[in-house]
Amino acid sequence: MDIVFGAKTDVGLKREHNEDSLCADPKLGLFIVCDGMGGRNAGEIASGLAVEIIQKHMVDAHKAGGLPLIGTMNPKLSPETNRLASAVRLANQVVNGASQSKPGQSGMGTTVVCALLNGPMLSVAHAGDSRIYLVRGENIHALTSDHSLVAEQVRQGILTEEQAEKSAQKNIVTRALGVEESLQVDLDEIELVKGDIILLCSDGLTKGVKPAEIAKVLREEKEPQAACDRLIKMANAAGGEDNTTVIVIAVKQVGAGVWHQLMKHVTR
Amino acid sequence: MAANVFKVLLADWMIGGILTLYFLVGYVGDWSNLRLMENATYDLRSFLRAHGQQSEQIEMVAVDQESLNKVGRWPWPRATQARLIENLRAGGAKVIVFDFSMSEPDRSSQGLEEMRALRQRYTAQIASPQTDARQREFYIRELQSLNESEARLDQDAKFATMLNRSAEVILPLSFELGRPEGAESAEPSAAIAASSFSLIDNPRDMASYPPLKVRKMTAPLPAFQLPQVGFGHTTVVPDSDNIVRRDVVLVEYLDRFYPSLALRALSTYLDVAPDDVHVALGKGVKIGDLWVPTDRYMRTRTSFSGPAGTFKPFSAHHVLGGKIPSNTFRGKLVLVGPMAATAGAVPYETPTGPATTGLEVTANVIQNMLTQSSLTVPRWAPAVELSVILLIGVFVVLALPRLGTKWSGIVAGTILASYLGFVVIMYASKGYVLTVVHPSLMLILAYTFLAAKRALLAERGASSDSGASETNRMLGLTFQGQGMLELAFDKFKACPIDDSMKELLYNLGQDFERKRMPSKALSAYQHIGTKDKHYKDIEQRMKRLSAAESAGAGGKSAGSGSLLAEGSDVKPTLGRYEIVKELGRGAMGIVYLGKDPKIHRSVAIKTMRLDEVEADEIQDVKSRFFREAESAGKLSHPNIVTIYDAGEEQDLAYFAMEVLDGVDLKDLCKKRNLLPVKRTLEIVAKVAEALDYAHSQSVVHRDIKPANIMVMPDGAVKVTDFGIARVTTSAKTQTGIVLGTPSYMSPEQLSGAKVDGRSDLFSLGIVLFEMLTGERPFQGESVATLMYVIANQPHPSPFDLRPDLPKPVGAVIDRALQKDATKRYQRGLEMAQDIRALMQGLTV
Repeated sequence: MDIVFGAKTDVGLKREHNEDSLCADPKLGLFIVCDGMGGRNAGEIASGLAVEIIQKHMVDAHKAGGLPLIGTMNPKLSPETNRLASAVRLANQVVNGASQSKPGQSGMGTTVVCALLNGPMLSVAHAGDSRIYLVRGENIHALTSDHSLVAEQVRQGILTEEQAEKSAQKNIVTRALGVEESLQVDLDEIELVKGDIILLCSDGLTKGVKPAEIAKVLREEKEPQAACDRLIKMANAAGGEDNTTVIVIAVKQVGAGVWHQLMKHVTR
Repeated sequence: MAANVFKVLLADWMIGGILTLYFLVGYVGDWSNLRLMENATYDLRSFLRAHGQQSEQIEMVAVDQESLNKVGRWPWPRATQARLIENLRAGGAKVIVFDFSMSEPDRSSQGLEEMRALRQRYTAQIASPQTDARQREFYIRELQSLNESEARLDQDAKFATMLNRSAEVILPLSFELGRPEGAESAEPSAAIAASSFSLIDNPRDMASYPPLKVRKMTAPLPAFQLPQVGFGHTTVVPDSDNIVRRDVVLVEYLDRFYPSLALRALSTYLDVAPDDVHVALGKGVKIGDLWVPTDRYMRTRTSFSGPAGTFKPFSAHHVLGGKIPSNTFRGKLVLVGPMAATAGAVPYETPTGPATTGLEVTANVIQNMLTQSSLTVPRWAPAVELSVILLIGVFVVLALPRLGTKWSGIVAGTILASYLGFVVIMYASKGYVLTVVHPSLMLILAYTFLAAKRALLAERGASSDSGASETNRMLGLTFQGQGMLELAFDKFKACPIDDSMKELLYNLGQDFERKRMPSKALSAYQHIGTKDKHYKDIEQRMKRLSAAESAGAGGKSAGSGSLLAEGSDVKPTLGRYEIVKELGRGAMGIVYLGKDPKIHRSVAIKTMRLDEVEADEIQDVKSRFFREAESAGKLSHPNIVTIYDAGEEQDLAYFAMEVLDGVDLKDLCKKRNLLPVKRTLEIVAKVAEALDYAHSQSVVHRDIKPANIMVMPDGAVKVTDFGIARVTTSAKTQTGIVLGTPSYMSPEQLSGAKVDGRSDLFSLGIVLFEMLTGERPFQGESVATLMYVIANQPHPSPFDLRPDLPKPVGAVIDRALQKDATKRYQRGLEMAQDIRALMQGLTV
């Protein structure tokens, strides 16, 4: 698959540290955004560690087929998606272990949203309230649903969306990597077509910028990197309350057909 | 066991090893299946040299169907045959190979028999006394004309005469394969023997390089066995698949070596007498300056110019008719032979095609020899081929498994292409024949097997949980890589101790030593020791470490900022307390056992390091820390943990509280650990009373759960942890905070509404349920489900889980777990009273 991507992270206007981490590895087709949380700079440690471990596991799995999987395999999903889930679970165990090894890191955790591109397929794994959107044609779709308290309340009809936005408990996340020994990772698979645009972002973006505006930017800017810069500017213009991280991936060509299937088998 | 054997067999190197062995043995043993495949590649290659050219020095005259039509059925009269040869001689041919069986007398011989019988009678009559003079004269005259007729008719004689005059004719000898035995294999005449090659350069090698033995010679008529005539054998030996690839240049018959027709013709053509031809057994034949290389059995490999018909023969009847231009045959080597089946042509199959006559085969052979273009197997071939097989074997066993599928394919393909290219070039340019099948198949099969195995395993490896120990090993390595050595050790301990595990544990031990955690290092080595005491130098290391430990101050880990240093005699102090030892590590910091020296009271000191907190957050953090102290501090109740003191010293904040020597309720909620009902009720009642008191002081706990309730050996109950893990509603919260499993939360807590003491009572109701039944009333796999269930689903009946519970318990639980706070117990005291009332009625 032929893609062009851009990535940017910004500390925002109100915070001293950037506790977000990102990974953009076109060779692996792996893109990750993590938003860390915890005392002092433990958030930075958690998100950085998560990104590092996920990437390392994917590299290792790519080099040596048959690496064991962490967690049970879901036969309904492709091996790539299962491998991605395994990487996220491994990162969870490591961050959880790290959180117990130093008092200052106790209870640290991070949200995680990752995308793995393989041929025409997109594998998505996430836990927390960082998001991944798909812009196709005129529409923008959220591929993930937030694991946050207010999102749950909205889903259960306890709150409306507007109330959720104003809620004082906006920041509470119900699922995060590293907080407990095992993590339930949400997984999904989507087939991409030419012209699709994928956006990974931490909640710093969506707190300030509405999805409709995001879609407009992504459609207007031809260069993904320029789109990233503009989105960050918009987030900061809206107040810059939090760290903001964005990754934009534009799908130029989706290689389908016999040749690619063949190459996929030969190069696996 | 079988699985293990299977696993070993399928190991990458094993596959390579088996393949190498197979092809090695196949090469040395020259297995027929491999030979067949090799022959196929050999025949394919022959097209590289099928240039379709005919040597200028060779001409063919064929007795083809056209000639048969014109002249008559075969065999032609001997006179005609003689005339054919004569015309060629007249045309200046240097050598004439007449490849027809000359062992039968001419057709006309029957008439001759009659005449001979007649002659005998006439002779007898002439000699007889009874014949009168006139009759004798008659007989003598008749005898004379008879002789003349005979002379005219005796074509064989004519032919012999012609042969006598010539020096160019070569006639065929045919043999059968095998050792000569008995009378069938007669001694050849001197003339024939003269054609044998007797000049052997290396007679001692006869045993190592025995030529083909033949027997039962069929030679031309004795009349034709003249010294002027050359003789060559016509034995053609096709390969096992019936394709003719070789010419046997020399056969052994009754201890003499006879050349093939081709070779004999060549020696005459080059003016070298049979006696002067050097034979190097097993290597070749040297005719004058021309070297004809052969294999060990005196055979050459024929490089065919093309399929049948490449060589253009002249029709025999044209030669008979004198229609060929006079210089066509001058100085050339002429092959005369049959091309029609009825004339005796045998169709051979060659690498370039079927239905090639013996005539054309011979022509090819001679052309090869003349132009030095026959195919040979070079002397260095076996050495090279064997080493190629071994090298590829090494490659396949060692390198191929380590490269990814993509790279191993590319490298194997490159090696294959280079070897094939080399072989092809050698063949085309120098006529060297090298075997191709073994290295090629090795590479192809090895790659295919390994790729297939990888594909299958990748599928299978992904589908099974593939062993918890594999996962644990991987986790352990990851932890170690991140410097989290103790966690790594935990994971490694869950794996079986095989050789590679011993290596990993040894490395971990060394890492522990480097990080100055000698007790952990010792444990690691001891763990190896349970399986293999003599692994590397662990014995010495263990000795050294345990010596250091006993000399030191109790082997505490020194790398984590503890107040207690190793080997120190001086006890540190914090505030007015003496630090005795470390009790554990809590969420915010280390918890120590301390002593108030003035009143000798033991305390638990909860600490928090301020130097790890950021400047702008210190205030926030400190206030949160002391808030817990304050909340509990203003509470004074036998069932609430007592806070004595709080303070700050340099970079440490602390508070001192009572030492609790008991366990929390977490374990007592498991089905097998449930307390007697009365005891449970007692505990819960006390907690309810404690909560009632706290609520009256405007303190809401907000996190009532089994882990926060402790029971002492003497039966005392204490509620702990007011505030540390609490969900705050401060708008100032910057970083996200994570919720634990809200199994004990009240509906109003979950919906974020205002929370008061009644919420704590709901949570206590859940604890009561769990402690009585061993199960939580509200269960769900995810936060979402749980939230829904707590908010909407009625709690199950405890009697479903434990029918023997006292009936009034149900009412207590029902009221405590009302979703609507107004319908619940409004005060902890109410709940406690209800519980105590029902306890009264119980015996247990």
